[in-house]
Amino acid sequence: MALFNSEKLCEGITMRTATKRFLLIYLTFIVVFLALRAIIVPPSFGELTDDYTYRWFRADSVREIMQLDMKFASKEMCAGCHKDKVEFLNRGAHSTLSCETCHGPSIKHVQNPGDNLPEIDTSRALCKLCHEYNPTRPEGFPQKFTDEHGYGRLCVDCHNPHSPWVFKGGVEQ
Amino acid sequence: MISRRKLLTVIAALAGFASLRKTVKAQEPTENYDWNKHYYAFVVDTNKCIGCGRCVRACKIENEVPMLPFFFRTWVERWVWLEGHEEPNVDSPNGGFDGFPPEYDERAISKSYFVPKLCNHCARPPCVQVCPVGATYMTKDGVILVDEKYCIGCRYCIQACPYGARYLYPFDGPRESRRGTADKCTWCYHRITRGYKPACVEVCPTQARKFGDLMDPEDEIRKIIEEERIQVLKPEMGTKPKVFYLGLDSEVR
Amino acid sequence: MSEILWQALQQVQGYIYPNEVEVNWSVLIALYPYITGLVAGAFIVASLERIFKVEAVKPTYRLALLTALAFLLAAPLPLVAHLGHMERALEIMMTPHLTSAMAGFGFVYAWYLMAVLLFELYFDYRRDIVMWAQEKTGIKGFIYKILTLGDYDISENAVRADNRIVNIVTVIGLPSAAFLHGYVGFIFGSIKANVWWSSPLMPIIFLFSAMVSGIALVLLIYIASSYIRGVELDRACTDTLANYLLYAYLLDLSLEFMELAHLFYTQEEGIDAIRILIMDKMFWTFIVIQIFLGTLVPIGLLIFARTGIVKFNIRKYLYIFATVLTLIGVFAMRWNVVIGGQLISKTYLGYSTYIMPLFGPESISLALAIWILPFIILAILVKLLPPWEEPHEWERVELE
Repeated sequence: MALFNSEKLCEGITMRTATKRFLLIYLTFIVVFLALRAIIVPPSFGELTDDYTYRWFRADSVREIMQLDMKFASKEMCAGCHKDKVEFLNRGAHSTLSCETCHGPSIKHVQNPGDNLPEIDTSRALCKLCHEYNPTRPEGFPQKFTDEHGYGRLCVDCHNPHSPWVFKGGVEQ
Repeated sequence: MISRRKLLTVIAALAGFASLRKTVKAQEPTENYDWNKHYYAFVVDTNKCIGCGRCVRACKIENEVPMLPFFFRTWVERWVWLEGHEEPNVDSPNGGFDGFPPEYDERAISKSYFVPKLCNHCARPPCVQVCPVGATYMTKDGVILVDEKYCIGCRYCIQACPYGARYLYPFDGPRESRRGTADKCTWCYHRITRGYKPACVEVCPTQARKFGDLMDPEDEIRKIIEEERIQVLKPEMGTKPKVFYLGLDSEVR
Repeated sequence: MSEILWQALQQVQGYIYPNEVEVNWSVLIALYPYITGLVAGAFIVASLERIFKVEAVKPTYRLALLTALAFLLAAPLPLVAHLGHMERALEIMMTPHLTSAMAGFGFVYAWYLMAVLLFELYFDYRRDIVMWAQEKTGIKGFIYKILTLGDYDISENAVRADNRIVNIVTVIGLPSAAFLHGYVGFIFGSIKANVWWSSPLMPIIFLFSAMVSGIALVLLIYIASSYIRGVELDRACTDTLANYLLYAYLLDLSLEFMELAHLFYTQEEGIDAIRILIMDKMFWTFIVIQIFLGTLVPIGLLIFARTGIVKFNIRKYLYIFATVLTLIGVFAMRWNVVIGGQLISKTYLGYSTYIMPLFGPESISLALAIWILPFIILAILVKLLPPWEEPHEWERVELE
């Protein structure tokens, strides 16, 4: 009933043809816009929205981000197979290190242990990253690394990288 | 007749518009992870950072960040106060990716420290506020994410971030679907929702970076925030950062 | 892309956040507020005649409207061209996030184009369109016939009704024009992270510089079109426009001064960085081009012209000189806001460098192409809808 009433209301206002058609073109624009909107907007948009300012988004986006591939594994994953190595590491001065701090991203090795062996970098450059002398480093951090120390030999020739105060090759502390 | 047809179209259009606003609201994005049960925070202990740059490297690998010195999700700064100088000397060669060459003479330095930086995942993020299309948002567990399939690349968020934590993923970057969109730290959302630490925290050799869940009463992070004297970057911005710093110098911004 | 970034990295001064090496908003974004400013300014000139009944500027009424339309049609181009994903541009209207100052753009733009400019132009031109539709043949006649929308009624009543619509639309249009551009200022002024942008005065400064540039553009186009058509300039019209330009300029200058005075007097964090930005990094574009050549010199010229010492024939050249300088100065103002704000690092400890590529996306050549486009559109519009007809019969009737 309300519909018919409003029709009569519309008839009450006399509009010229030009105005009427001009407005009709606009109305078409708005309808096309709304139709387009219904098609274009992704279905999951606003699904998880409970806050317009900070959570106005496409819900599938969270799911996509959650499913991104990992490149790094974790120390716990390494301990799954290399229990002895991790235990040894945890007893020494390098206990706070993760395996992947030095061995690099290893999730592929976890997924497929035969292939994709993690890198083993035995160069002095790698040790230097942390232990080269640098006045900005916190006091007390072992940074006695100089070119004289070790006379150009590899660090791992003497130090066990998994527990640096355990020495190899008969060098006494 | 015309007016009735018009009216009907308007009603139909409005109905179509309204149908987009689904009233059904899911509580969590997936079945095996409930984002209402977590609220994450990050602690950086600047007293412990040694500037090795392993975090920067790990982040770039884990998140396919281009290996160029203009794009970083996290970086490390070196702040050096030389004796007799009023202003600090700050640098971050390649974001600290290759470590820091010892450039300064120890005797000239009055104080010096490393400051790791990353997205602060503000509780009141200006970057989210200014996104015109809803392509960046805050998850319920407190992480700011970017929708790489929806971002139009207008870069308003990059301008709005007071911390320089965002950048535009370059058009020749390795991840095709992300090209031309804003990119930033996600606290490795794909790792933390599976129960692992962010890559930078995982590889940090001195535990200068710590990550945890404030809703977990046993979490180390929660104890630090409750018991220690903590600071945040640029508190005057009113952004309420969730990266908390220990031992931060007041000049650092 | 990355060659430019390597170059920019070489030229970094002090310490900036590593992600700040790339200047994200390029020359195109400087062009965008410039063009919208011209739209708003031109529309305000048109409104002078309609709302404020400034009879002297009547010869520029329709020209100003067409100028506004031509520039408005080009206004979204720099924005869309600079997007990382142009094909997603419509999202800004599909899922607008209205807490963003930018999200309103699509709607404000559509409103201004459809509800204000086209409306006003159509009903202002309707009588002429109907007459042209009856006179002209061929393609032009066909276009006019479509434009009549099948309504050939140009009785006195119909024309009066048209006139009433135009008056109402102008009254709505004036705040819309002010909003269109003030809102552009808000996009920058609301960024608290940037010391050079963050200011509540920004929308008003943008608005007044828009008026300055719009009046200057209409005046310049009016002088140029009269020259091309070989028609004598209307002295009263030219002088009045120049006077309005001067008033707008004085307001604009005092606002800019207030902004700078506040910055330098309060000496908040980052003021040292701003001082170096102005005195060193932007010395040429800010002090020399924007303030001296783009503001003080034109104001001096306009005041000199106003004293009436020189004859109109010489005054004319003063006006041309002043308006060209104005247009350059206002562009420099946009540049100094958009680019300048990004040169200053959010660390307050350093500065990045903006390197503008010659070709390719976000280059100077693209910016120039977009800048020339509105003039081409204007030429077509002027051919289709000649703005220099005799005053309408009905207007004479109404004046009595």
